Amino acid sequence: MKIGIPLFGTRISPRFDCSQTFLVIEVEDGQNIQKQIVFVCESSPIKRIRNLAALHIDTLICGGIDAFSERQLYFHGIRVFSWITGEAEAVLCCFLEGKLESGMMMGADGRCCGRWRFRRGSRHL
Amino acid sequence: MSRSYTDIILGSIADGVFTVDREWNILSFNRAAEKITGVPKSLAIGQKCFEVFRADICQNACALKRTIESGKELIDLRINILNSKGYSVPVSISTAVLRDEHGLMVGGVETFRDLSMMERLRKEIHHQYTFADIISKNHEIQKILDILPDIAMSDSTVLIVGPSGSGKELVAKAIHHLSRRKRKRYVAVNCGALPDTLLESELFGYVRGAFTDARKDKPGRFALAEGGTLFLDEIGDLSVALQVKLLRVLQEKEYEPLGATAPVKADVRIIAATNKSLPDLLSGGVFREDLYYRLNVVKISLPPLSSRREDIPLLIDHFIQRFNASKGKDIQGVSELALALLMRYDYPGNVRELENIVEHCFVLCRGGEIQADHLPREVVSTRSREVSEPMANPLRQAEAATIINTLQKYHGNRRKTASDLGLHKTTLWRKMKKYGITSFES
Repeated sequence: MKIGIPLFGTRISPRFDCSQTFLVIEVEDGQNIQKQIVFVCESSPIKRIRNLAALHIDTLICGGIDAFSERQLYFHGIRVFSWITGEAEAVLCCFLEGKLESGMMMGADGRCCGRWRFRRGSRHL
Repeated sequence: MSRSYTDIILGSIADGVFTVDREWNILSFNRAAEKITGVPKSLAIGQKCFEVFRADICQNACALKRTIESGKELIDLRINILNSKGYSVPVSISTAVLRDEHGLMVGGVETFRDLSMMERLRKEIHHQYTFADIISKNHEIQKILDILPDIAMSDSTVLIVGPSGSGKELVAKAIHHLSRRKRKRYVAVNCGALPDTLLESELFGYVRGAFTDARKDKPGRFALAEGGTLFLDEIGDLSVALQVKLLRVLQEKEYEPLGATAPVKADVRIIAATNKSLPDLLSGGVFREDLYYRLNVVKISLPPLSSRREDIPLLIDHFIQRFNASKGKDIQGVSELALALLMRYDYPGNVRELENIVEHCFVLCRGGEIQADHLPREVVSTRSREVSEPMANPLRQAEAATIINTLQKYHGNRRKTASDLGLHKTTLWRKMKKYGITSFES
């Protein structure tokens, strides 16, 4: 499984369409086997998503995302966990433990401390 | 002035206002800020401002950061933010430093004004629609959107076919705004709206003296679209004589205005559209074969709305947002019964008809949700579509549409479909049986 996380410093980027830096993690049997930082400089959402698909990312964990991009990601077969806030590493751990849901707010202690409006099964999908 | 007076004042203004400390944590968030961002105050307070406001400048050019670092205010900067519904909202922001009673800087304050209505009017006046305005999760439409940038950059002639009101001109505008020609004009002509003689002068223009009353030169649409894009709607209605002249433009890249003695070079990208079957017109001898093949370089087929019912709730939501902005109302959505009736209707006029229906509802609905009473009679009384009991519920309809879409995506492979939807394969099989999704191409 390959996971993509758009970054803002060490946090999940607040907007999918504005982040140029992606943390790409390759996971096997629930373990990180490779991590890399990838730069995606496309401003067009269609091309940006195509670039992610070309990296064979099958899961995207992101912050705010517009409905158009979310539909395009779904079209490319990329599963989306959206409207997540918090430190990227903490969010990744939560995902690998199978506990991540769209809309989660991750606190400094790595625990869920609230929810934004969106959950999995967002009406945009 | 006491804090309660400040709260009352901030609660009564139309502009959003929030304050942050030096760690970018939100300290206060007024009612207008809640409304524009869609984030309740209770969620916003204590959060990082960039995770609530979600502006396009947050990561690289934060206005508040500039103000706090420099001490200088910023006035009326135009940006866009992402609201909690995933819509991009254009706003105008102003920032200032926040100081305590000793004059020490403790953070910043940002005010912002919603420019949605102005932006929407500007878009309509200048035809600046983009691919993001094509609202659909239908697999066929998503395939078109995926290749739209390539089509746009290729500069090739495009033929868009689809029933009336299916969005042909929206796709044409999106292609123009993705292309290298986006800074030049987009010009549209309806070939079925004018008689032949008028259409010729409209397209190619005329020179002074070409006919009685031609007192001065008049540029045609080709001249107006020079360097840009010319959209020829209802291309199937073009007479054979004009088809010949259009063919010349496509082949030789030149045309002659009426009464001119020399041809004029044309650097125009043609996008043509029709709701007719051009192959049928070809076999009837009404449309020229050579012109058809010149136009049919890239063909985009848009499905009718009745073939993409999963888009109906999205489109309704989109039109409600648009009309709320333009008509100054606050309609929250549609009731379950109204949605079920809208999902059942056949839409012979496609997306345009749905838009008209929503606008009709806006006239009658004063607030809250659109009810079945607000719908036009033809939507309420239609018997055109048999709806089985399991499908009557709008949630079930949406579930069935999602299953069908995903099956299409994986070419009928049920294992992959089940995996994508997070279902066990027997659960998928049970749901397919429930909704009558029995045969599917592999």
